[in-house]
Amino acid sequence: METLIQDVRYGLRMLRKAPGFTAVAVTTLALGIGANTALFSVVDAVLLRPLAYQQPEQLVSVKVEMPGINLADGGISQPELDDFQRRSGVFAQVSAVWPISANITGRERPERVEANAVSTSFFTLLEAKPALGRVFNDGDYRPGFTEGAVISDSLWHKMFGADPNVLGQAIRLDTDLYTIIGVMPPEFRHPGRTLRQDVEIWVAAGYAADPFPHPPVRTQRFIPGAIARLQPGMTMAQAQSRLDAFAAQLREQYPTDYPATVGWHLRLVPLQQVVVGNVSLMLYLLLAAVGAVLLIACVNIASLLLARSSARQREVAIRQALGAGTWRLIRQTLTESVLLSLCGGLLAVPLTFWLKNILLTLVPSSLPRLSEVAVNGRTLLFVISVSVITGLLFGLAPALQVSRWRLMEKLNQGARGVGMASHQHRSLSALVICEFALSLVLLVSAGLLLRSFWKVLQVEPGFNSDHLVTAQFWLPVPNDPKNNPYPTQEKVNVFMDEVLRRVGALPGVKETAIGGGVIPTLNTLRNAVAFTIEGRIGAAGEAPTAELGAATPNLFHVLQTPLIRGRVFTEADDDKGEPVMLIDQTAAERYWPHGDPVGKRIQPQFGRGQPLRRVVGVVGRSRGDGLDAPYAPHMFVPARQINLNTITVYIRTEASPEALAEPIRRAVQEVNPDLPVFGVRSVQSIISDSLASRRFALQILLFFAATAMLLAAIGIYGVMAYFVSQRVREIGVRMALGAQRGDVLKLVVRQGMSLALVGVVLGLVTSLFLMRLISRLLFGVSSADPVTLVILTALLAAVAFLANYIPASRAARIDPMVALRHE
Amino acid sequence: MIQLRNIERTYKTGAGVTYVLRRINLDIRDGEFITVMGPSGSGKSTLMSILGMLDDSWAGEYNFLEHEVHKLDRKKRSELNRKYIGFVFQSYHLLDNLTVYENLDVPLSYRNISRGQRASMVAEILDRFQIVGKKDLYPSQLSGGQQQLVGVARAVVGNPKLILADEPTGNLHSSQSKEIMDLFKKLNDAGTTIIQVTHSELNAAYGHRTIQLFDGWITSDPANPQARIPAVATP
Repeated sequence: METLIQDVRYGLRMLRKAPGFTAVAVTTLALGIGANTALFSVVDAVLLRPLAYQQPEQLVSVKVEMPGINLADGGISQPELDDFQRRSGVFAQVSAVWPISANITGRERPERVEANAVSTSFFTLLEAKPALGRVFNDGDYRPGFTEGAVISDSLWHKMFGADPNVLGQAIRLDTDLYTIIGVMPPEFRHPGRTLRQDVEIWVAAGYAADPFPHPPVRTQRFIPGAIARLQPGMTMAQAQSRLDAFAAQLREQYPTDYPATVGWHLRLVPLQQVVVGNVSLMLYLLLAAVGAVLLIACVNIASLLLARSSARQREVAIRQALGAGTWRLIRQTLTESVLLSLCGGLLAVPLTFWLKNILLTLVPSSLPRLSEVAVNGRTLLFVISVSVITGLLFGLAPALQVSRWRLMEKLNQGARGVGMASHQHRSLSALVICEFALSLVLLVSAGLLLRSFWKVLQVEPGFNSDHLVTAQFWLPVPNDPKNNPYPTQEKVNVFMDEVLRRVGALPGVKETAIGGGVIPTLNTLRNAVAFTIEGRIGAAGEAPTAELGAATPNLFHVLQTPLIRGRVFTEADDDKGEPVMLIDQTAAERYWPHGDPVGKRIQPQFGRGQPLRRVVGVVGRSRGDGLDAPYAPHMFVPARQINLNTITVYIRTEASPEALAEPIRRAVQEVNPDLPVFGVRSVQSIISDSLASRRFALQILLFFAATAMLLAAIGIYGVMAYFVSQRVREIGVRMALGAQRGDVLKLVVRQGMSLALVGVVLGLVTSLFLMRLISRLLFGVSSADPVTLVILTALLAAVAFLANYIPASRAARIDPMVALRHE
Repeated sequence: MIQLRNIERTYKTGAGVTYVLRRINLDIRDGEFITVMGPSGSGKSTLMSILGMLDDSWAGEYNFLEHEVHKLDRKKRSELNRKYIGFVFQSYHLLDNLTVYENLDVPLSYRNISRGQRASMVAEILDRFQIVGKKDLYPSQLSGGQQQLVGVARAVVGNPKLILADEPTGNLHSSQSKEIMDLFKKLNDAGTTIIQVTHSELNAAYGHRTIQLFDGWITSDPANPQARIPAVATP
């Protein structure tokens, strides 16, 4: 302990003695560690920290897969939900989760809220306690919807002013009356997918009476998802295997409900994975990138320390002569480097707060669990760990060098030769090579993301997004059909006509239409719908599916999506007309590769009793699921033939969405004062938002890659300058032996470039291997895209050449006389 | 072969100008073996650097063979160095990371000589100096005497007309020293002009003529009896 204190004291003195070096090293480390910690705080909150529920590892999401009809996330029927709970033997509790939009009316002005229809077991399953009142219990069970509702802390504040007497108050949701029975605490978040924002209100249902189909039928899988808690002590693998057996049992028991061609089976996904969604790869990529930047900074500091340590050979020799063992000398060197990095870590703590805030302004708001991002004990522990590891890492090379010096004395290398010790040369060379390899890997990943982003921007969406604005509203679905203000298709059609007429008359509005499932991220009727083609019997696993959308007659004209064949909808395509349908080019090419689909009849499998619909036309393909999603087949039904609930109005206008929001709200509420209007946005901003994650990853990675390249350039410059200083005599000798300045220039540049090129080749090979891991984040480019690889290799080589040229030209100016006297 | 007329070499220092060489007049004939002696700081090494065309910052006239060196630019002087001059250093100055073979190849690599020709020249010199068995060794694996042997071999590999040896035996013990000096004698007998700087009277005896330097002046040159320190040695 005493010797450790001595080492620390001596280390601090050494750092004080070289204030310039210490300042540069500490600042570099502080920035590196700070950036790592800030990103770690995000990754920790989003990915690493367990969900804020009791025993979160026991929570799962139950997915239904039907590969036979290309359905990756099919729904669940009420009998199936019941079976999961009572017969599967896998789950302690099961709850439906069904994200819905709802209108709250009866207050000052109607509001659209994010609601979730669950089972009465939902909160007890999560073991979540309310802040006020109570949550649902078994006694609340009703075949239809329960009367009670639980609200979120944010809705309690927003709508009720945090009134402590909110319990028992009535609330009108989609015209149905509910009583508030509980308020959840602010930290409670709904675990899973939502439509637009965090869930604000939970209602519970038995899914076996109005407004649900009743009596329940096994094949009506209208419940979009379920979560569950596994039986105590059951592992995921055990649960999955039992569930597989149970699914097989159901398939056997109900062969007509589970035809073999559909391949119906169940898959358990940890709830944590569902909450985090698909951001984990991106976040881990960024964490790896910022880690690589810190590693490159470490390499730079290591090479500085290595260069400095040769100036301390005399000191080390004296220590050895006085009896210091190798381990003691290594420890002294490592103590100094760890002290240096701990100083960096200390400075990194305030930086982390600042960098975290910057990061949060860049992070797309769609990232889950963002509200949980905080600098806390875990983050500080991360700072300390990273500091110590960093210190050990960059202290390792100088420490190993110290341990070799005794050997050097034996070899008696000294004044006789010219040049630097070969092992030191090797260490520094290895560091430079690593630095370049790492930099190229970062550059390539940033380059691939940049190319992908560019390719995404080049994508033809299939419509003209200029001056296109959308507005949405939700037609209520009351629990009691008698309360439905729009019980018939005719009433819905009258309502839509009136809204289109009034919005169309607003100043600045040129054209309007109603639709759904067309614009990226507005695909409200998502989920591919299976359909059958009249007269065609599909082979197993070949059931056609397409994204379902709805359209008024002029929708494709407003969107400027071309008509390829046939006709678009007309005013005659209403509830009284023949059931018709439009498909897009992708659907036409996929399902009628050698024929004309126009005139053919198909039967979509949504809702009950869907009629055969005649295909009347083919429209151009569009990117309904986002610009970077592959083209999916689409089919559209006339908005006048389908009971739409989420209505999206598309408005071609010169006016801004901000200026239009209030007039549209007034226009809609003149038709129905209880309808809140939401999502008044330009389509361009919707598209831009849909690329937010991609843009965020790109921005951060570009910044890291540029930093890495700069650090690598500084690194090779420093090392080459040091090499040159060590080779002054050698260069003098070479000049005495006839070398010209050009020869010296070549000598130094060649040495530096060979290191850089070895690094680049190593980086290239590593990139080819590692980039395959991020191929899911790429779009339109392969992970081994030759253009990206060639350009970035050339760029890094050019930077290396510049960084080499400066010490090389200095070497070429060495006066041989001075060099030869330099003994 | 060499004519120096009023060669002066100064250094700018904070206090003004310091003279390292003063009005050097020296004639060296082809095939001579010259010894330069003098105390430390007398200007011996500077004189060698000027003779070897490593130093440009001097004034006066320097004729080398038929070339007026004082009128040549750096590049031309460098060419003369490569073509006619070989260096032997006190500290050998072999390149650590190169083998004996590669060290011998270095001066040839700076001349416009093909790889094949270079190989035969190096092979010939290895043979001549009887160091073929050591061609793959690194300098650190050789004794001091062996290293200097390689140093001399490197100086003569390009068949220079002039060898400049700056205290070539300064770091060697007497038997090694004699070996090297005998080697110089042989080379001189074969026609190579040699100028050596030494502190050893024994080594000086190998030469035809000894020039004494003191404080930048030639104080004694058997070929030039007028050479002496003027009354005021410093400006």
